[in-house]
Amino acid sequence: MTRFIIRRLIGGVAVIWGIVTLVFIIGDALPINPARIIAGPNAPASVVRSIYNQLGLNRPLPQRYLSYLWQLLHGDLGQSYATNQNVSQALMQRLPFTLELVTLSVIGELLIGVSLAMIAAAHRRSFWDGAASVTALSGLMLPSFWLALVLLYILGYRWPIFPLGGVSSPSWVVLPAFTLAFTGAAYYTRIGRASLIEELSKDYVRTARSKGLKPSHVLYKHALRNALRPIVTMAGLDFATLMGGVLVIEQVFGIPGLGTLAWTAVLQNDLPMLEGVIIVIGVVIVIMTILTDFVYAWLDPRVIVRNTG
Amino acid sequence: MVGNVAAGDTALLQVNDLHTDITTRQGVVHAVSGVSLCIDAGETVGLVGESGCGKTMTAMSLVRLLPGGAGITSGSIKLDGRDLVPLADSQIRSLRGSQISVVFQDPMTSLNPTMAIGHQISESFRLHRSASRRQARSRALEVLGLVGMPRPSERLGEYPHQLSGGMRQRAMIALALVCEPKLLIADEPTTALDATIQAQILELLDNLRQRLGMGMLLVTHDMGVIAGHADRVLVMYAGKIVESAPTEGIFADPRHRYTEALLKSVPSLDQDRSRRLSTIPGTPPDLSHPLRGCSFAPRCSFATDQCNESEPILDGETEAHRYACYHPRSTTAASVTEPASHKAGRSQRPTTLARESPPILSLASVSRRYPVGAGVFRRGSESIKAVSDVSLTVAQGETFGLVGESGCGKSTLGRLIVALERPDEGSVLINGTAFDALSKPQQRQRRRDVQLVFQDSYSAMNPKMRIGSIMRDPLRVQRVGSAAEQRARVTALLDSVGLPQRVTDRFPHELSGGQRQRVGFARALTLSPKLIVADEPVSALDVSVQAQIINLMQSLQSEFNLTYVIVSHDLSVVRYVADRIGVMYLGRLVEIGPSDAVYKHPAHPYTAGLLESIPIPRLQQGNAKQGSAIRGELPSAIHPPSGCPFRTRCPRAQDRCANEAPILRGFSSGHSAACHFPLIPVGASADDIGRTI
Repeated sequence: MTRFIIRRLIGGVAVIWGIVTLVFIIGDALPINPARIIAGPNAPASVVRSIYNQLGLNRPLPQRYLSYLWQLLHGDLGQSYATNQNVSQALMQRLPFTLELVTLSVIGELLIGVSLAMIAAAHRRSFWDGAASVTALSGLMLPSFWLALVLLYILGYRWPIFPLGGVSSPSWVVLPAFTLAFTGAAYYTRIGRASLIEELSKDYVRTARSKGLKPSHVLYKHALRNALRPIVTMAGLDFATLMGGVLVIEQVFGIPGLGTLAWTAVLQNDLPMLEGVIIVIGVVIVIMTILTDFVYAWLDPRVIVRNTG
Repeated sequence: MVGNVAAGDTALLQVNDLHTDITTRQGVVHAVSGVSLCIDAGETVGLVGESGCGKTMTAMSLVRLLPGGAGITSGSIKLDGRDLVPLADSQIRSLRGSQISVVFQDPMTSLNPTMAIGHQISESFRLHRSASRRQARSRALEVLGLVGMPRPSERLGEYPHQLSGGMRQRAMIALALVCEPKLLIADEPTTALDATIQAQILELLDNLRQRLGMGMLLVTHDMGVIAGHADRVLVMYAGKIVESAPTEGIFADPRHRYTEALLKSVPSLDQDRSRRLSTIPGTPPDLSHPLRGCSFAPRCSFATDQCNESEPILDGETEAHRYACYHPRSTTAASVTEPASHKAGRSQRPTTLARESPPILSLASVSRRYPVGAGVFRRGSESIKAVSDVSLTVAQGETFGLVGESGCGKSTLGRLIVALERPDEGSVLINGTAFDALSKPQQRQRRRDVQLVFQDSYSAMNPKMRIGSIMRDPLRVQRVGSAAEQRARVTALLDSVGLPQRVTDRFPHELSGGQRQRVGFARALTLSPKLIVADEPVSALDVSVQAQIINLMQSLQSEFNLTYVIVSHDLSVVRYVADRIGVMYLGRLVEIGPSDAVYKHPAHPYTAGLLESIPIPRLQQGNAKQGSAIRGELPSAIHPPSGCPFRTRCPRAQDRCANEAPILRGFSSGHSAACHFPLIPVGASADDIGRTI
């Protein structure tokens, strides 16, 4: 087990290093002169040149790369070109909101999606199977911003249970997380239903039935755990996609998260800020991948044996 | 129709006129139609028949563990006098696992891979006896001990993949017996296991049945298993019981023509090898369109108009032995004269062939290793020697049989011969040249000469291709002939394997198992190979079909002058088809010789043990139950025992066996074995050896 963890961690660090390097190379290759952005469009060329030198951009590429890595190791992601804000601080202010939203959304997707999948698989080809699938698909077909606005109107304005926007109240996360969960749950229902139906046809399920267990118990205690693998894979990928993809929902609900930050940074050619967002999302994805592997190992005792002999 | 009336009132289980239908898109399949049976406490009743005859459906109907769309339509199932058919599902559930338990076929797939053994066993105890977690745990420990699991307390926390096949089946049996049921249904309990383990498990089931006084329904396709372990036998065909008799009666005096044919198509160890196996022509009927009259009539050579007109009822001269046949096998006639065709075939086969023709295949000290636990930190630190120092030769036109338990390396050796794998040491020579010594075009040519036939032809065929394309594929890949010539070749070969032309347009799933295996052989033959390696060619087939394929293999051999290497765990089949036999154990060749010599006078204790573990479909003297010949299980292949690998399970092992690995020594002409303390004297017939040298 220890070997399994160490190997996964080493792999994770290597991937992060790769991401960081790629971000540096792309940033360097972009036709953007940071000195011009800082100096403003009307500044004379000599000022731009002196800022350029101040930023150390006149040094050779390997030297700049090493000092970039060195700074990263100390958590220094540089200053925003647009606002002169410290990038690390800006990210740390916003990351908690996005993390909370994404985590709760994925948990919500799992709860809705897997419950519907269990209903569908348990009552295969009956009314309940159809009802569960239609419910899941309706979520998929609704545009998330539309659902968000409807929810805001009903539960924020007509019956003001939740705040209309912003993050001042602790219940800010409920509506945006539900919106994301409901619109994303259909995938989990589909994959979960197929996976559960496959597991339910296996011999060990017949053995479980031969013990006299109730169908619900067979589904819950025996089949579900074995059917979770593809669902866990999905959840890991989904977490990654949502980290970078919650922009619309953040905008609608006025949440100061990473999506909004990235969006502004792109509009302002604010390279350090954008790089910071990419690196943070990359690190979160790597951590999620490792966590997914641990969940696999927990779900299926054969995984560790296969990986470490 | 009341079966076994005499025992009717006192029986533990009394089934009367049971009908189970399966509703499918194609229509209603009458899987079980009118089955009556009874089982007393402490009695084993065997239910035997080919796949699709309804034996498993009958057994599963008893506990209502039926697939979707299936249900009991009429009849009664009385357990201790209480009818189970009208009970609600929840009432049936309370009986499952507590009163009636089931042991399933494949313990690997029948146990939950993600749940610890202890939990799986204790689950039903907690459910039915409302026991606490602790009580259930100690009960699980107790039953694991009862089923002979070594170190039971360690096993509680282990998962199925950590156990060997035999241990898993013991765990499965423990799971079934944890609540001490009155009736145990064993559905092909040993079909997925090796012969030596099979014997151990059957013996265990016998002992447990006696100790716990359970009734047991033993469902199997294997007449040998039935012969050694059942008190009474029911033979099923097309959803009906066609013969019911005490075990002695079935084997000494089978009356129904189907029972007779079934018994004849199993090759036995003392089978006359010059005779073709008798087969049952045709295939079992489609149960969605029941026939008028006897269901076996279309395949029966004794059928008359009466058989096609009305259905015979289950009856007989005595209450115990009943059969549903208008033209039963006569008791007085000593033996039915066999159709002449059965004697044709291979009688001209020269037995001395092996020594006269030049070897087509020769293996010299071949070894193949696989690394285990390969990874960043421990690459190549340990390895399994799948094949270890094997030398043998196979002559042109010969059939060589390779036998051994699963994991002994016999399939790896087969793959080495067809050059799907390369040896780590030693050489595999075909017609005197090794694969790697050839140039690329020559290697391509070599691929034509050596072909492979698989156990499961269905998974060895692309399901999206039609049979015609599947068979043409080798010709296309090797660019042999024009499209028309290729098609003509396919046509000719289909003829040779006895399949109609129209199968070229079919997909693999539309064919029966036997037809697919015929296609498997036809495909292997397209490139006119000299040597065919057949890996378990008949293991997946029913006995009647198995006999057809064996006969086909033999006629193809003489027609195309083929050399066969047949890899199989089924010793009776290998004994019948092979001229010479090699016995493998843990990657080593432990005995090799002409098949008659090896079977009649085995020199190695392992060979002798294997032969003893074969369930023989004959009556045992005094109805003695068969015992298991070889104790214990296959040791770890990563850390094989020192010296002789078999010493850990060998009854004759002494200190010398641990210190010194035995080498192959000659006993008689071409017969040698690697054992320090062989069962027959070395050089049994010295003059015979002298002649060969």
